[in-house]
Amino acid sequence: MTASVTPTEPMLGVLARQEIRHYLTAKLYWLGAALLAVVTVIGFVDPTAASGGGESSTMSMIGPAALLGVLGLIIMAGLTRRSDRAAAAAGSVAVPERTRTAALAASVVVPLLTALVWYAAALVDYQVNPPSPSTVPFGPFGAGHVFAVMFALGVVPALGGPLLGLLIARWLPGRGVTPLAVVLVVLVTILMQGNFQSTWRWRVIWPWTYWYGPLGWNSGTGHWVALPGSPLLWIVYLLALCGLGLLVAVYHDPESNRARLRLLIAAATVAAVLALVLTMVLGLPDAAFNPLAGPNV
Amino acid sequence: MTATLTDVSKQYGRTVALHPTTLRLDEGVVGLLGPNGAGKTTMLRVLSSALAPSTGTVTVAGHAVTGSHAERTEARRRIGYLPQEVVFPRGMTAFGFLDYIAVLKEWADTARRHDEVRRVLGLVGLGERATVKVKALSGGQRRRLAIAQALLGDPALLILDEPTTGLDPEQRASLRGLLSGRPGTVLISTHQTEDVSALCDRVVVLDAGRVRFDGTVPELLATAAGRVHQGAAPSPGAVQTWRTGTGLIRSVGGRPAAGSSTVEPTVEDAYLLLRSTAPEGAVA
Repeated sequence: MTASVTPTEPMLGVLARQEIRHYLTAKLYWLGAALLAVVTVIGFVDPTAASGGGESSTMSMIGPAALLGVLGLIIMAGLTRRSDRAAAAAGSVAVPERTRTAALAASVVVPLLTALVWYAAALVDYQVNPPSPSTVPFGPFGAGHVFAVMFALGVVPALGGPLLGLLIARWLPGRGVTPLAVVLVVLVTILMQGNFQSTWRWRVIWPWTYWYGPLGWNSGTGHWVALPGSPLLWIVYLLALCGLGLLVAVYHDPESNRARLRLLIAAATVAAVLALVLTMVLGLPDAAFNPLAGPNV
Repeated sequence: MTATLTDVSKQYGRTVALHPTTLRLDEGVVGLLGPNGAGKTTMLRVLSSALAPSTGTVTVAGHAVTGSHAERTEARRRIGYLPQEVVFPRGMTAFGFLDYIAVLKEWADTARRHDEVRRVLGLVGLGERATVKVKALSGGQRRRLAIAQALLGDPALLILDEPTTGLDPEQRASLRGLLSGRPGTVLISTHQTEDVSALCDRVVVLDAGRVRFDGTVPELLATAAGRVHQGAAPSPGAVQTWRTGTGLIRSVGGRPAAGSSTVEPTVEDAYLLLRSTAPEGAVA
Protein backbone atom coordinates (compact mmCIF):
# COMPACT_ATOMS: atom_id res chain seq x y z
CA MET A 1 0.00 0.00 0.00
CA THR A 2 1.41 3.32 -1.02
CA ALA A 3 -0.88 5.04 1.46
CA SER A 4 0.30 8.61 1.25
CA VAL A 5 2.11 10.34 -1.55
CA THR A 6 4.78 12.84 -0.69
CA PRO A 7 5.06 15.36 -3.49
CA THR A 8 8.54 15.49 -4.96
CA GLU A 9 8.03 18.95 -6.42
CA PRO A 10 5.57 21.78 -5.82
CA MET A 11 2.23 20.62 -7.16
CA LEU A 12 1.42 24.07 -8.55
CA GLY A 13 3.98 23.57 -11.31
CA VAL A 14 2.70 20.09 -12.16
CA LEU A 15 -0.90 21.23 -12.16
CA ALA A 16 -0.07 24.38 -14.14
CA ARG A 17 1.48 22.23 -16.86
CA GLN A 18 -1.72 20.18 -16.98
CA GLU A 19 -3.87 23.30 -17.29
CA ILE A 20 -1.60 24.75 -19.98
CA ARG A 21 -2.04 21.51 -21.90
CA HIS A 22 -5.80 21.72 -21.41
CA TYR A 23 -5.81 25.30 -22.71
CA LEU A 24 -3.74 24.26 -25.68
CA THR A 25 -6.17 21.49 -26.53
CA ALA A 26 -9.21 23.79 -26.40
CA LYS A 27 -10.73 23.98 -29.88
CA LEU A 28 -11.95 27.50 -29.21
CA TYR A 29 -8.37 28.63 -28.60
CA TRP A 30 -7.20 27.26 -31.94
CA LEU A 31 -10.20 28.76 -33.70
CA GLY A 32 -9.37 32.17 -32.24
CA ALA A 33 -5.65 31.85 -32.92
CA ALA A 34 -6.23 30.73 -36.51
CA LEU A 35 -8.65 33.60 -37.21
CA LEU A 36 -6.24 36.06 -35.63
CA ALA A 37 -3.41 34.72 -37.78
CA VAL A 38 -5.52 35.10 -40.92
CA VAL A 39 -6.58 38.65 -40.04
CA THR A 40 -3.00 39.62 -39.17
CA VAL A 41 -1.55 38.18 -42.36
CA ILE A 42 -4.23 39.90 -44.48
CA GLY A 43 -3.46 43.20 -42.76
CA PHE A 44 0.22 42.70 -43.39
CA VAL A 45 -0.05 41.71 -47.04
CA ASP A 46 -2.85 44.07 -48.03
CA PRO A 47 -3.22 46.92 -45.52
CA THR A 48 -6.03 48.63 -47.43
CA ALA A 49 -8.13 45.48 -47.46
CA ALA A 50 -7.76 45.11 -43.72
CA SER A 51 -8.26 48.64 -42.49
CA GLY A 52 -9.81 50.61 -45.26
CA GLY A 53 -6.87 52.91 -45.53
CA GLY A 54 -3.79 54.20 -43.91
CA GLU A 55 -3.85 53.24 -40.23
CA SER A 56 -1.59 50.20 -40.61
CA SER A 57 -1.85 48.02 -37.47
CA THR A 58 -2.74 50.89 -35.12
CA MET A 59 -6.42 49.89 -35.00
CA SER A 60 -6.15 46.12 -35.28
CA MET A 61 -6.37 45.43 -31.51
CA ILE A 62 -9.98 44.33 -31.75
CA GLY A 63 -8.68 41.07 -33.25
CA PRO A 64 -6.64 39.76 -30.30
CA ALA A 65 -9.05 41.30 -27.80
CA ALA A 66 -11.99 39.38 -29.24
CA LEU A 67 -10.27 36.22 -30.43
CA LEU A 68 -7.95 35.74 -27.46
CA GLY A 69 -9.61 37.81 -24.73
CA VAL A 70 -13.32 37.16 -25.13
CA LEU A 71 -12.85 33.59 -26.32
CA GLY A 72 -10.32 33.18 -23.51
CA LEU A 73 -13.03 34.16 -21.03
CA ILE A 74 -15.18 31.31 -22.33
CA ILE A 75 -12.29 28.82 -22.45
CA MET A 76 -11.12 29.60 -18.93
CA ALA A 77 -14.62 29.42 -17.47
CA GLY A 78 -14.92 25.96 -19.04
CA LEU A 79 -11.54 24.84 -17.72
CA THR A 80 -12.43 26.07 -14.26
CA ARG A 81 -15.71 24.15 -14.25
CA ARG A 82 -13.86 21.08 -15.49
CA SER A 83 -11.30 21.35 -12.71
CA ASP A 84 -14.05 21.82 -10.12
CA ARG A 85 -15.95 18.80 -11.36
CA ALA A 86 -12.85 16.63 -11.24
CA ALA A 87 -12.08 17.76 -7.70
CA ALA A 88 -15.71 17.16 -6.68
CA ALA A 89 -15.58 13.70 -8.26
CA ALA A 90 -12.68 12.85 -5.97
CA GLY A 91 -14.46 14.44 -3.03
CA SER A 92 -11.34 14.90 -1.00
CA VAL A 93 -7.92 15.74 -2.43
CA ALA A 94 -4.72 17.08 -0.94
CA VAL A 95 -4.26 19.86 -3.47
CA PRO A 96 -6.49 22.76 -2.35
CA GLU A 97 -8.76 24.88 -4.51
CA ARG A 98 -6.42 27.87 -4.35
CA THR A 99 -3.64 25.83 -5.98
CA ARG A 100 -6.03 24.77 -8.72
CA THR A 101 -7.03 28.41 -9.17
CA ALA A 102 -3.40 29.49 -9.43
CA ALA A 103 -2.67 26.68 -11.90
CA LEU A 104 -5.63 27.71 -14.04
CA ALA A 105 -4.39 31.29 -13.92
CA ALA A 106 -0.97 30.08 -15.05
CA SER A 107 -2.50 28.69 -18.22
CA VAL A 108 -3.09 32.25 -19.45
CA VAL A 109 0.48 32.01 -20.61
CA VAL A 110 -0.99 30.37 -23.74
CA PRO A 111 -3.15 33.29 -24.94
CA LEU A 112 -0.62 35.77 -23.58
CA LEU A 113 2.23 34.36 -25.66
CA THR A 114 -0.09 34.23 -28.68
CA ALA A 115 -0.95 37.87 -28.12
CA LEU A 116 2.74 38.76 -27.84
CA VAL A 117 3.35 37.09 -31.19
CA TRP A 118 0.50 39.18 -32.62
CA TYR A 119 2.03 42.29 -31.00
CA ALA A 120 5.41 41.60 -32.58
CA ALA A 121 3.69 41.13 -35.96
CA ALA A 122 1.72 44.34 -35.44
CA LEU A 123 4.92 46.28 -34.71
CA VAL A 124 6.55 44.86 -37.81
CA ASP A 125 3.46 45.77 -39.82
CA TYR A 126 3.68 49.27 -38.37
CA GLN A 127 7.27 49.56 -39.63
CA VAL A 128 6.69 47.93 -43.00
CA ASN A 129 3.40 49.69 -43.70
CA PRO A 130 3.71 52.96 -41.75
CA PRO A 131 0.41 54.58 -40.81
CA SER A 132 -0.80 57.58 -42.76
CA PRO A 133 0.05 60.99 -41.21
CA SER A 134 -3.67 61.63 -41.08
CA THR A 135 -4.06 58.87 -38.49
CA VAL A 136 -1.72 58.35 -35.53
CA PRO A 137 0.77 59.33 -34.24
CA PHE A 138 0.50 63.06 -34.69
CA GLY A 139 1.25 66.32 -32.90
CA PRO A 140 1.37 65.93 -29.15
CA PHE A 141 2.29 62.23 -28.97
CA GLY A 142 4.63 59.83 -30.72
CA ALA A 143 4.90 56.18 -31.66
CA GLY A 144 5.54 55.12 -28.04
CA HIS A 145 2.02 56.26 -27.12
CA VAL A 146 0.59 54.24 -30.01
CA PHE A 147 2.62 51.16 -29.10
CA ALA A 148 1.41 51.41 -25.50
CA VAL A 149 -2.21 51.59 -26.65
CA MET A 150 -1.68 48.62 -28.97
CA PHE A 151 -0.20 46.66 -26.07
CA ALA A 152 -2.99 47.64 -23.68
CA LEU A 153 -5.78 46.79 -26.12
CA GLY A 154 -4.18 43.85 -27.88
CA VAL A 155 -2.01 42.00 -25.37
CA VAL A 156 -3.50 42.74 -21.95
CA PRO A 157 -6.98 41.41 -22.88
CA ALA A 158 -5.39 38.05 -23.60
CA LEU A 159 -4.51 38.07 -19.90
CA GLY A 160 -7.59 39.81 -18.58
CA GLY A 161 -10.24 37.92 -20.55
CA PRO A 162 -9.27 34.46 -19.28
CA LEU A 163 -8.76 35.78 -15.75
CA LEU A 164 -12.25 37.27 -15.86
CA GLY A 165 -13.52 33.87 -16.97
CA LEU A 166 -11.75 32.29 -14.00
CA LEU A 167 -13.19 34.84 -11.61
CA ILE A 168 -16.72 34.41 -12.95
CA ALA A 169 -16.56 30.60 -12.89
CA ARG A 170 -15.24 30.64 -9.32
CA TRP A 171 -17.97 32.82 -7.89
CA LEU A 172 -20.86 32.31 -10.32
CA PRO A 173 -20.56 28.71 -11.47
CA GLY A 174 -23.99 28.55 -13.11
CA ARG A 175 -23.97 27.39 -16.72
CA GLY A 176 -25.67 30.42 -18.23
CA VAL A 177 -23.45 32.94 -16.50
CA THR A 178 -20.54 32.79 -18.93
CA PRO A 179 -22.50 33.62 -22.11
CA LEU A 180 -24.35 36.32 -20.21
CA ALA A 181 -21.04 37.77 -19.05
CA VAL A 182 -19.72 37.77 -22.61
CA VAL A 183 -22.79 39.63 -23.87
CA LEU A 184 -22.50 42.18 -21.05
CA VAL A 185 -18.79 42.70 -21.66
CA VAL A 186 -19.35 43.28 -25.37
CA LEU A 187 -22.31 45.61 -24.81
CA VAL A 188 -20.56 47.80 -22.25
CA THR A 189 -17.41 47.80 -24.36
CA ILE A 190 -19.38 49.14 -27.33
CA LEU A 191 -20.80 51.93 -25.17
CA MET A 192 -17.41 52.89 -23.73
CA GLN A 193 -15.47 53.39 -26.95
CA GLY A 194 -15.21 57.13 -26.77
CA ASN A 195 -17.99 57.64 -29.25
CA PHE A 196 -19.69 59.86 -26.70
CA GLN A 197 -17.64 62.93 -25.88
CA SER A 198 -19.01 63.00 -22.33
CA THR A 199 -17.19 59.72 -21.60
CA TRP A 200 -13.77 60.79 -22.91
CA ARG A 201 -12.28 61.58 -19.49
CA TRP A 202 -13.55 58.65 -17.43
CA ARG A 203 -14.01 55.99 -20.12
CA VAL A 204 -10.67 54.45 -19.01
CA ILE A 205 -12.46 52.91 -16.03
CA TRP A 206 -13.62 50.25 -18.47
CA PRO A 207 -10.77 47.87 -19.33
CA TRP A 208 -11.18 48.05 -23.10
CA THR A 209 -11.65 51.42 -24.76
CA TYR A 210 -10.15 53.15 -27.77
CA TRP A 211 -7.61 55.89 -27.23
CA TYR A 212 -7.71 57.31 -30.69
CA GLY A 213 -9.43 56.78 -33.95
CA PRO A 214 -11.65 58.23 -36.57
CA LEU A 215 -14.27 59.20 -34.02
CA GLY A 216 -15.57 61.61 -36.63
CA TRP A 217 -19.25 61.50 -35.89
CA ASN A 218 -18.49 63.20 -32.59
CA SER A 219 -15.98 65.70 -33.83
CA GLY A 220 -17.99 66.28 -36.96
CA THR A 221 -14.86 66.53 -39.07
CA GLY A 222 -13.71 63.03 -39.89
CA HIS A 223 -10.35 63.93 -38.37
CA TRP A 224 -8.68 61.42 -36.11
CA VAL A 225 -8.82 62.29 -32.47
CA ALA A 226 -6.58 61.17 -29.61
CA LEU A 227 -8.38 61.00 -26.26
CA PRO A 228 -6.96 62.30 -22.97
CA GLY A 229 -5.01 60.23 -20.46
CA SER A 230 -1.87 58.12 -20.16
CA PRO A 231 -1.94 54.69 -21.86
CA LEU A 232 1.20 53.58 -19.99
CA LEU A 233 -0.46 54.15 -16.61
CA TRP A 234 -3.60 52.54 -18.00
CA ILE A 235 -1.58 49.37 -18.58
CA VAL A 236 -0.62 49.51 -14.89
CA TYR A 237 -4.31 49.93 -14.04
CA LEU A 238 -5.27 46.95 -16.22
CA LEU A 239 -2.56 44.75 -14.72
CA ALA A 240 -3.70 45.76 -11.23
CA LEU A 241 -7.23 44.72 -12.21
CA CYS A 242 -5.88 41.35 -13.41
CA GLY A 243 -4.07 40.85 -10.11
CA LEU A 244 -7.18 41.88 -8.21
CA GLY A 245 -9.31 39.43 -10.19
CA LEU A 246 -6.90 36.59 -9.49
CA LEU A 247 -6.82 37.37 -5.77
CA VAL A 248 -10.61 37.47 -5.56
CA ALA A 249 -10.75 34.15 -7.40
CA VAL A 250 -8.28 32.60 -4.94
CA TYR A 251 -10.29 34.10 -2.08
CA HIS A 252 -13.16 31.77 -3.02
CA ASP A 253 -11.31 28.86 -1.39
CA PRO A 254 -12.74 28.69 2.14
CA GLU A 255 -9.57 26.98 3.33
CA SER A 256 -7.29 29.77 2.11
CA ASN A 257 -5.67 32.32 4.38
CA ARG A 258 -8.42 34.84 3.88
CA ALA A 259 -7.08 37.41 6.32
CA ARG A 260 -3.87 37.68 4.29
CA LEU A 261 -5.82 37.66 1.05
CA ARG A 262 -8.01 40.51 2.25
CA LEU A 263 -4.88 42.60 2.79
CA LEU A 264 -3.60 41.74 -0.68
CA ILE A 265 -6.98 42.48 -2.23
CA ALA A 266 -7.04 45.84 -0.47
CA ALA A 267 -3.52 46.60 -1.70
CA ALA A 268 -4.42 45.63 -5.28
CA THR A 269 -7.56 47.77 -5.09
CA VAL A 270 -5.57 50.77 -3.89
CA ALA A 271 -3.00 50.21 -6.66
CA ALA A 272 -5.76 49.97 -9.27
CA VAL A 273 -7.52 53.12 -8.07
CA LEU A 274 -4.24 55.02 -7.91
CA ALA A 275 -3.25 53.90 -11.40
CA LEU A 276 -6.70 54.83 -12.70
CA VAL A 277 -6.53 58.33 -11.24
CA LEU A 278 -3.04 58.82 -12.64
CA THR A 279 -4.23 57.52 -16.02
CA MET A 280 -6.84 60.26 -16.07
CA VAL A 281 -4.69 63.14 -14.86
CA LEU A 282 -1.42 62.39 -16.65
CA GLY A 283 -0.62 61.90 -20.32
CA LEU A 284 -2.59 63.90 -22.86
CA PRO A 285 -4.42 66.62 -20.88
CA ASP A 286 -7.20 66.98 -23.45
CA ALA A 287 -8.46 65.39 -26.61
CA ALA A 288 -6.28 66.28 -29.58
CA PHE A 289 -7.42 66.36 -33.20
CA ASN A 290 -5.21 65.47 -36.12
CA PRO A 291 -5.18 68.54 -38.38
CA LEU A 292 -5.11 66.29 -41.43
CA ALA A 293 -8.42 64.87 -42.59
CA GLY A 294 -8.82 61.13 -42.03
CA PRO A 295 -8.07 58.66 -44.81
CA ASN A 296 -11.72 57.83 -45.33
CA VAL A 297 -12.96 61.39 -45.60
CA MET B 1 -4.70 2.65 10.20
CA THR B 2 -7.43 3.98 12.43
CA ALA B 3 -10.03 6.62 11.76
CA THR B 4 -12.10 8.07 14.54
CA LEU B 5 -15.11 10.28 14.87
CA THR B 6 -15.51 11.75 18.32
CA ASP B 7 -18.80 13.43 19.20
CA VAL B 8 -19.20 14.41 15.58
CA SER B 9 -22.46 16.06 14.59
CA LYS B 10 -23.71 17.93 11.58
CA GLN B 11 -26.59 20.38 11.37
CA TYR B 12 -28.01 22.14 8.34
CA GLY B 13 -29.85 25.07 9.80
CA ARG B 14 -32.31 23.57 12.24
CA THR B 15 -32.12 20.12 10.69
CA VAL B 16 -29.84 17.66 12.45
CA ALA B 17 -28.35 15.34 9.83
CA LEU B 18 -26.02 13.62 12.25
CA HIS B 19 -26.41 13.58 16.02
CA PRO B 20 -23.24 13.50 18.15
CA THR B 21 -21.58 10.27 17.09
CA THR B 22 -18.46 8.52 18.24
CA LEU B 23 -17.05 5.79 16.04
CA ARG B 24 -13.70 4.10 15.67
CA LEU B 25 -12.78 2.39 12.42
CA ASP B 26 -9.92 -0.09 12.40
CA GLU B 27 -8.57 -2.29 9.61
CA GLY B 28 -11.20 -4.22 7.71
CA VAL B 29 -14.36 -3.62 5.76
CA VAL B 30 -17.15 -1.78 7.52
CA GLY B 31 -20.64 -1.61 6.03
CA LEU B 32 -22.81 1.39 6.71
CA LEU B 33 -26.50 0.65 6.39
CA GLY B 34 -29.45 2.93 6.79
CA PRO B 35 -32.51 4.29 5.03
CA ASN B 36 -32.38 7.28 2.73
CA GLY B 37 -31.83 10.39 4.81
CA ALA B 38 -30.29 8.49 7.71
CA GLY B 39 -27.18 10.65 7.61
CA LYS B 40 -24.87 8.13 5.91
CA THR B 41 -23.61 10.44 3.20
CA THR B 42 -23.18 13.23 5.72
CA MET B 43 -21.07 10.96 7.90
CA LEU B 44 -18.94 9.86 4.95
CA ARG B 45 -18.44 13.41 3.75
CA VAL B 46 -17.40 14.55 7.20
CA LEU B 47 -14.99 11.64 7.53
CA SER B 48 -13.51 12.34 4.12
CA SER B 49 -13.01 16.03 5.02
CA ALA B 50 -15.29 17.11 2.19
CA LEU B 51 -17.65 18.57 4.78
CA ALA B 52 -16.82 20.25 8.08
CA PRO B 53 -18.73 18.89 11.08
CA SER B 54 -20.78 21.20 13.28
CA THR B 55 -19.18 19.73 16.39
CA GLY B 56 -16.63 17.07 17.27
CA THR B 57 -13.30 15.92 15.91
CA VAL B 58 -12.30 13.53 13.15
CA THR B 59 -8.89 11.91 12.85
CA VAL B 60 -7.42 9.71 10.15
CA ALA B 61 -4.22 7.84 10.99
CA GLY B 62 -3.68 10.26 13.85
CA HIS B 63 -4.11 13.36 11.69
CA ALA B 64 -6.95 15.67 12.61
CA VAL B 65 -9.28 16.23 9.67
CA THR B 66 -10.87 18.95 11.76
CA GLY B 67 -7.51 20.45 12.71
CA SER B 68 -5.10 22.75 10.94
CA HIS B 69 -4.78 22.89 7.18
CA ALA B 70 -1.52 20.93 7.35
CA GLU B 71 -3.16 18.22 9.45
CA ARG B 72 -6.15 18.05 7.13
CA THR B 73 -3.84 17.73 4.13
CA GLU B 74 -1.98 14.88 5.83
CA ALA B 75 -5.29 13.16 6.48
CA ARG B 76 -6.43 13.68 2.90
CA ARG B 77 -3.26 12.03 1.63
CA ARG B 78 -4.53 8.83 3.26
CA ILE B 79 -8.13 8.98 2.06
CA GLY B 80 -9.77 7.68 -1.09
CA TYR B 81 -13.37 8.78 -1.39
CA LEU B 82 -16.10 7.84 -3.81
CA PRO B 83 -18.96 10.34 -3.57
CA GLN B 84 -22.51 9.11 -3.99
CA GLU B 85 -23.04 11.12 -7.15
CA VAL B 86 -20.22 11.95 -9.50
CA VAL B 87 -20.56 14.55 -12.23
CA PHE B 88 -17.70 13.97 -14.61
CA PRO B 89 -15.82 16.83 -16.24
CA ARG B 90 -16.49 17.33 -19.92
CA GLY B 91 -14.12 16.43 -22.70
CA MET B 92 -11.81 14.15 -20.73
CA THR B 93 -10.85 10.59 -21.50
CA ALA B 94 -10.93 7.98 -18.76
CA PHE B 95 -7.14 8.18 -18.53
CA GLY B 96 -7.10 11.98 -18.61
CA PHE B 97 -9.70 12.16 -15.86
CA LEU B 98 -7.74 9.86 -13.56
CA ASP B 99 -4.46 11.54 -14.46
CA TYR B 100 -5.87 14.92 -13.45
CA ILE B 101 -7.19 13.58 -10.15
CA ALA B 102 -3.86 11.85 -9.53
CA VAL B 103 -2.20 15.27 -9.79
CA LEU B 104 -4.74 16.62 -7.30
CA LYS B 105 -3.65 13.73 -5.08
CA GLU B 106 -0.06 14.92 -5.38
CA TRP B 107 1.33 12.39 -7.81
CA ALA B 108 3.96 14.72 -9.19
CA ASP B 109 6.16 12.30 -11.10
CA THR B 110 4.61 11.79 -14.53
CA ALA B 111 5.88 8.25 -15.18
CA ARG B 112 4.83 6.98 -11.76
CA ARG B 113 1.51 8.75 -12.03
CA HIS B 114 0.73 7.21 -15.38
CA ASP B 115 1.68 3.77 -14.07
CA GLU B 116 -0.68 4.30 -11.16
CA VAL B 117 -3.50 5.42 -13.43
CA ARG B 118 -3.03 2.33 -15.60
CA ARG B 119 -2.99 0.16 -12.47
CA VAL B 120 -6.33 1.41 -11.14
CA LEU B 121 -7.90 1.31 -14.60
CA GLY B 122 -6.89 -2.33 -14.73
CA LEU B 123 -8.28 -2.97 -11.26
CA VAL B 124 -11.75 -1.82 -12.28
CA GLY B 125 -11.57 -3.53 -15.67
CA LEU B 126 -11.29 -0.38 -17.75
CA GLY B 127 -7.77 -0.87 -19.04
CA GLU B 128 -9.02 -1.22 -22.59
CA ARG B 129 -11.20 1.88 -22.33
CA ALA B 130 -8.46 4.27 -21.17
CA THR B 131 -8.53 6.47 -24.26
CA VAL B 132 -12.31 6.62 -24.53
CA LYS B 133 -14.04 9.87 -23.63
CA VAL B 134 -15.90 9.60 -20.33
CA LYS B 135 -19.18 10.62 -21.97
CA ALA B 136 -18.88 7.58 -24.26
CA LEU B 137 -18.68 5.16 -21.33
CA SER B 138 -21.72 3.27 -20.09
CA GLY B 139 -23.24 4.04 -16.69
CA GLY B 140 -21.56 1.03 -15.10
CA GLN B 141 -18.22 1.92 -16.63
CA ARG B 142 -18.50 5.45 -15.34
CA ARG B 143 -19.23 4.14 -11.87
CA ARG B 144 -16.15 1.92 -12.10
CA LEU B 145 -14.13 4.91 -13.27
CA ALA B 146 -15.33 6.83 -10.23
CA ILE B 147 -14.28 3.91 -8.04
CA ALA B 148 -10.89 3.88 -9.76
CA GLN B 149 -10.18 7.47 -8.72
CA ALA B 150 -10.84 6.51 -5.10
CA LEU B 151 -8.32 3.66 -5.42
CA LEU B 152 -5.52 5.95 -6.67
CA GLY B 153 -2.54 5.60 -4.36
CA ASP B 154 -4.06 2.62 -2.59
CA PRO B 155 -5.31 4.81 0.27
CA ALA B 156 -5.23 3.61 3.84
CA LEU B 157 -8.85 4.71 4.32
CA LEU B 158 -11.22 3.98 1.47
CA ILE B 159 -14.66 5.55 1.76
CA LEU B 160 -17.23 4.38 -0.77
CA ASP B 161 -20.70 5.87 -0.93
CA GLU B 162 -22.97 3.33 -2.65
CA PRO B 163 -20.27 1.95 -4.92
CA THR B 164 -22.37 -0.81 -6.46
CA THR B 165 -25.08 1.47 -7.83
CA GLY B 166 -25.31 0.82 -11.56
CA LEU B 167 -23.03 -2.22 -11.50
CA ASP B 168 -24.19 -5.56 -12.87
CA PRO B 169 -23.85 -8.73 -10.73
CA GLU B 170 -20.48 -9.66 -12.26
CA GLN B 171 -19.09 -6.21 -11.65
CA ARG B 172 -20.40 -6.23 -8.09
CA ALA B 173 -18.74 -9.55 -7.46
CA SER B 174 -15.55 -8.22 -9.00
CA LEU B 175 -15.66 -5.18 -6.73
CA ARG B 176 -16.18 -7.40 -3.70
CA GLY B 177 -13.09 -9.36 -4.68
CA LEU B 178 -11.14 -6.17 -5.07
CA LEU B 179 -12.16 -4.75 -1.70
CA SER B 180 -11.96 -7.93 0.33
CA GLY B 181 -8.34 -8.47 -0.64
CA ARG B 182 -6.97 -5.07 0.20
CA PRO B 183 -5.35 -3.98 3.44
CA GLY B 184 -6.38 -0.85 5.31
CA THR B 185 -9.84 0.35 6.26
CA VAL B 186 -12.82 0.34 3.92
CA LEU B 187 -16.08 2.04 4.82
CA ILE B 188 -18.95 1.28 2.45
CA SER B 189 -22.32 2.92 2.54
CA THR B 190 -24.83 0.78 0.71
CA HIS B 191 -28.44 -0.27 0.39
CA GLN B 192 -27.32 -3.69 -0.85
CA THR B 193 -27.53 -5.85 2.25
CA GLU B 194 -26.09 -8.83 0.36
CA ASP B 195 -22.92 -6.81 -0.19
CA VAL B 196 -22.68 -6.32 3.55
CA SER B 197 -23.13 -9.99 4.36
CA ALA B 198 -20.68 -11.02 1.65
CA LEU B 199 -17.99 -8.50 2.36
CA CYS B 200 -18.12 -6.70 5.67
CA ASP B 201 -16.38 -7.60 8.92
CA ARG B 202 -18.52 -5.09 10.74
CA VAL B 203 -21.86 -3.37 10.24
CA VAL B 204 -22.98 0.02 11.43
CA VAL B 205 -26.64 0.85 11.07
CA LEU B 206 -27.43 4.52 11.01
CA ASP B 207 -30.96 5.79 11.41
CA ALA B 208 -32.27 9.31 11.84
CA GLY B 209 -28.72 10.54 12.32
CA ARG B 210 -27.94 8.11 15.13
CA VAL B 211 -26.02 4.82 15.27
CA ARG B 212 -28.62 2.11 15.88
CA PHE B 213 -26.31 -0.87 15.69
CA ASP B 214 -22.57 -1.42 15.64
CA GLY B 215 -21.26 -4.96 15.50
CA THR B 216 -20.27 -7.89 13.35
CA VAL B 217 -22.49 -9.46 10.71
CA PRO B 218 -23.15 -12.55 12.93
CA GLU B 219 -24.10 -10.23 15.80
CA LEU B 220 -26.55 -8.40 13.53
CA LEU B 221 -27.98 -11.71 12.34
CA ALA B 222 -28.34 -12.84 15.92
CA THR B 223 -30.73 -9.96 16.62
CA ALA B 224 -33.14 -11.57 14.11
CA ALA B 225 -32.68 -15.20 15.11
CA GLY B 226 -36.04 -16.95 15.48
CA ARG B 227 -37.95 -13.95 14.19
CA VAL B 228 -38.15 -14.81 10.50
CA HIS B 229 -40.69 -17.38 9.34
CA GLN B 230 -41.86 -18.99 6.20
CA GLY B 231 -45.17 -20.64 5.56
CA ALA B 232 -48.44 -20.61 3.68
CA ALA B 233 -49.75 -17.54 5.52
CA PRO B 234 -48.11 -14.29 6.65
CA SER B 235 -47.19 -13.87 10.30
CA PRO B 236 -49.60 -11.53 12.11
CA GLY B 237 -47.85 -8.25 13.02
CA ALA B 238 -44.92 -8.90 10.68
CA VAL B 239 -42.75 -5.98 9.71
CA GLN B 240 -42.58 -7.15 6.12
CA THR B 241 -44.02 -10.11 4.24
CA TRP B 242 -43.61 -11.28 0.68
CA ARG B 243 -44.22 -14.34 -1.45
CA THR B 244 -41.00 -16.06 -2.36
CA GLY B 245 -40.17 -17.93 -5.54
CA THR B 246 -41.20 -21.19 -3.90
CA GLY B 247 -44.70 -19.89 -3.35
CA LEU B 248 -44.25 -19.67 0.43
CA ILE B 249 -44.68 -16.43 2.31
CA ARG B 250 -41.68 -15.09 4.17
CA SER B 251 -42.48 -12.99 7.22
CA VAL B 252 -40.01 -10.80 9.06
CA GLY B 253 -41.05 -10.30 12.67
CA GLY B 254 -44.54 -10.77 14.09
CA ARG B 255 -46.05 -13.90 15.55
CA PRO B 256 -45.50 -17.03 13.44
CA ALA B 257 -48.59 -18.19 11.60
CA ALA B 258 -49.82 -21.70 12.08
CA GLY B 259 -47.79 -24.19 10.08
CA SER B 260 -44.97 -21.80 9.39
CA SER B 261 -41.35 -22.63 10.12
CA THR B 262 -38.49 -20.52 11.40
CA VAL B 263 -35.80 -19.80 8.84
CA GLU B 264 -32.29 -18.37 8.97
CA PRO B 265 -32.43 -14.60 8.89
CA THR B 266 -30.48 -12.57 6.38
CA VAL B 267 -28.81 -9.23 6.97
CA GLU B 268 -31.79 -7.65 5.26
CA ASP B 269 -34.18 -9.34 7.70
CA ALA B 270 -32.14 -8.15 10.65
CA TYR B 271 -31.96 -4.67 9.21
CA LEU B 272 -35.73 -4.53 8.67
CA LEU B 273 -36.35 -5.69 12.22
CA LEU B 274 -33.93 -3.15 13.57
CA ARG B 275 -35.60 -0.42 11.56
CA SER B 276 -39.02 -1.45 12.83
CA THR B 277 -38.00 -0.44 16.31
CA ALA B 278 -36.14 2.68 15.29
CA PRO B 279 -37.40 5.96 16.64
CA GLU B 280 -38.96 8.36 14.21
CA GLY B 281 -36.85 11.34 13.35
CA ALA B 282 -36.67 13.70 10.44
CA VAL B 283 -33.19 13.78 9.03
CA ALA B 284 -31.89 15.48 5.95
